[in-house]
Amino acid sequence: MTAEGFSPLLHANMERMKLLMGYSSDFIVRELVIAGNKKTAIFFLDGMVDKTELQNGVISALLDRTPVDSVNLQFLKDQVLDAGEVQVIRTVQAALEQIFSGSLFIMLDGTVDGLGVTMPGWEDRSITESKTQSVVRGPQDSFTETLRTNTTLVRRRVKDTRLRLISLRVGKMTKTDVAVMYMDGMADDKLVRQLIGRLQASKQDRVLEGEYLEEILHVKKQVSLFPTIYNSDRPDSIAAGIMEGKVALFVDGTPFVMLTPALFIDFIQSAEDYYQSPLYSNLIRMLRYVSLAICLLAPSVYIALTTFHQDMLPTQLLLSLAAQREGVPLPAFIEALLMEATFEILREAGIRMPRTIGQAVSIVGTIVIGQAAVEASIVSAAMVIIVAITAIASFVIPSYSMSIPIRIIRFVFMALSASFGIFGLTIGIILLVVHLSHLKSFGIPYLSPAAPFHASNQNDAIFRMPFWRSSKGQTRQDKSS
Amino acid sequence: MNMIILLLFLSGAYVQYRALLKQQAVRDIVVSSCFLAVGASFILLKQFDVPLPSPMKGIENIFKPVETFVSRLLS
Amino acid sequence: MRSEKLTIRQMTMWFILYQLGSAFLVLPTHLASVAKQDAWISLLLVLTVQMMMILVYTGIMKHLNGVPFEEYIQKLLGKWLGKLFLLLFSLMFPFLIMSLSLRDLGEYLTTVIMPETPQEAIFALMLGAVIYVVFCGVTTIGRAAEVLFFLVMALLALGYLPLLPTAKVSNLLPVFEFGWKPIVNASFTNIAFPYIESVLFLYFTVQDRKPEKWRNVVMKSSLYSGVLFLYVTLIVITVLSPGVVSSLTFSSYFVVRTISFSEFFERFEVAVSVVWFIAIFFRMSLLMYVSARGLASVFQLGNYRSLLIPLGVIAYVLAGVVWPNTAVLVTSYRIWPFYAMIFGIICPILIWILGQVKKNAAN
Repeated sequence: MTAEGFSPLLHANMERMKLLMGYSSDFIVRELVIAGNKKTAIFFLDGMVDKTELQNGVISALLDRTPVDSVNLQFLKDQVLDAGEVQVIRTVQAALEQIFSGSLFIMLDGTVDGLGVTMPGWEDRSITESKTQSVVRGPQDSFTETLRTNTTLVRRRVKDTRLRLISLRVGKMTKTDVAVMYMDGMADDKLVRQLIGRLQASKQDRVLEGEYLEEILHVKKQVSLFPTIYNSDRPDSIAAGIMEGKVALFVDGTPFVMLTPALFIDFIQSAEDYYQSPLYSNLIRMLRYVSLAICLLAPSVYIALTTFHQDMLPTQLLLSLAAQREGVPLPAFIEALLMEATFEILREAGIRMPRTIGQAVSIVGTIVIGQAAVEASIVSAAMVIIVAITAIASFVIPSYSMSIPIRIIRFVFMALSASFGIFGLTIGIILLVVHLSHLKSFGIPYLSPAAPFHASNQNDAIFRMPFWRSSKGQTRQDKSS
Repeated sequence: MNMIILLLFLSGAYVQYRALLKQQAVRDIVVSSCFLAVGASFILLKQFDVPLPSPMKGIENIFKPVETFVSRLLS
Repeated sequence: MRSEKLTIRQMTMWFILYQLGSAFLVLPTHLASVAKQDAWISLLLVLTVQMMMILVYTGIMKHLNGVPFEEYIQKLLGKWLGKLFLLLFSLMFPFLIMSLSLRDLGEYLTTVIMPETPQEAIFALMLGAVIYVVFCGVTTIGRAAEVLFFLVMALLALGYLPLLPTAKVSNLLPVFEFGWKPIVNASFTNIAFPYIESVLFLYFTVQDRKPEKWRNVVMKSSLYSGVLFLYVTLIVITVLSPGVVSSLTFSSYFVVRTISFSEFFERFEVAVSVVWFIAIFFRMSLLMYVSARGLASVFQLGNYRSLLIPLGVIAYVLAGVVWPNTAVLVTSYRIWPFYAMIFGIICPILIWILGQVKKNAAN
């Protein structure tokens, strides 16, 4: 079926195509007679082509502008068809690919080859705000589900000839269009080739979202909760990443674009850091780091202090905490576990909840249940406060894929501090740091540029320098120890 | 208590040995399991409250005269 | 085999943390109980001796010429003698120290912080963590040291700077009250713990293999930790008086307990414990790494990682066994320096002399 060609008889070809498509009702075959006596057929999928353009650019052109006895494919291609890309198609397989991509396929009676005319015109979601990463000041557009729209959004921001785009098709059943975008000369060529190689070698039959690809892109397997590929639906983040020398991966059908390599610091930074003044941005960054620490450590510290190290608290605080815990039947660890688990349930529910009920659930869930639990002496008020602060702090982290490992590790820390107090917590922190130090994202140590520390790379690591300082251009990661 | 910990260590060793077997590092496995056997027997001895000799005792006995000599020198 | 390269920064920071992890909590007590208020002079003496020993170590480093330490020993002493030496050396020095440190940690935790936790659990947790970390490799540990170093320094500043207002310099007087003998006596204990262990740093090479760079790393880290120790000792003696210091086991810990600003900023001592946990962690990782590497070379294993779990199991038992109870600690502590000096002073000098002889013979 792959390399087979067509027969010269139009009628046979029409029957064949209809058979291949299983007589699907959205597969349209439009017959024409042009140039006086030549039978022609146009094949397309209803809903995927631009109907207006079809009418004006193709059908009208074919009917009006073909003088008698002059028609062959080359003539049609060069002189008649107004529409976008036109190419000669020789095999059935290629014809089907064209049709599935929203193109027309035109065949003449008596000719073995056909023409493919690109004319995509399906319904697409308009460009709206990003749903997962919003900023106060800055571009408000986000990617949509169409590949070409997305690559254009990036193209408009990086008007440089070094910006390259390589297209691929991945997935046996879905034949998803995938595009790799990078800056020639700034991105690591080896990385680009490695990515393309892995994509081409992929044996998956369906690629519906970036995640399907994320798991096959790595050459070396690393077991970790932490993400090594950055996802965003913001064109400005992706464009900035590309200009730093990273490689972007677009997948048709999803507005989330991937960036590799991704380091720990990329998940803590937000695009907005560059849209506000340096002083404010740096303060907000510090706030983010503090929130990260709170989110990770708050429940564990509470458990450690109240279970093992009561003497560390100021006397008054200790007395009031003790009074609160007086009626609570559960040890601090179970109490914390219960509250955190409840909150995770609420959070998941909040994502799936229909918009109309969402508000009510959050009010009921957080306030009423929390309040009632405290009054029923199942949990202490201090615990509710801790859980609430932790939850809110976790939303300060710009990237959702980073908040997942943090939430999970939080529970591990709680267990450690419940059994070994502050010692357990310290060991947990050490192990976390070691694990992060061990991770590599496509060959680059995950904790760069903090460790290994090179003074030249510190421009934008923890604090952002004002732009007039970084006139040498943006920093690049390197693969040294 | 000790047994649980021994079990944990042994399971860790098991995972490691599987990987080593794949690499066909026979020597590593042999030597490693010898040491592991020594350690495991120590734990078992400890479990049954058999008093184990402490190397510090040996060191103490050997160096006690040196220490007394020096401290007398310096006091 | 994963790459095992460290940058100079990483090495320096790791070594500093390593040295902090040893006697940090007990150093002032040990010094002060013998030298009383002149404890800080002992420390200066210790640092001087350390600098001299570093010259010997650098000499060995020059002979090494890029060859890993354990291979060099076997080349120097011949295959069988070298292996025997390495076996005894690895088991009797780094491995023993690691078990001792582990026991130290357990004692500290069960005495001061968590009396109800069984020591075995602490041992198991710590060993598990150390095994994982050494498994990850030296490069990883170096990066982690870089990151955690700042935390440690911040916590130290938090714990010890606020003590300055309460320091009474009069506690340091009279100087040389008992003459120089107690000072020298006290410095004996503390040369061994931790500075002589610097011989183990020979297992680590700098990236471009220049012995001068290695020497600078060791010198810098010894001086840095020396200054830290000096500061802590001075603070401890001046805030509490020498008599009090000698009666407290964990004086550096207790001195932080005395911080009290407006009745709210008190009780920082747990923060100082965190410093010690992190430092001792890096100490044990280094010791485990060195032991495993030495032993792996003795048996000619391809990878030192295979030995980590067995060594962990043995250390688990050994740590429980080294002292029957805390009281024995005091006597053991007086003997230890002499034992350590064999490995830290006598052996390196002999190795260096042998190396020189062989070099001269070869010319």
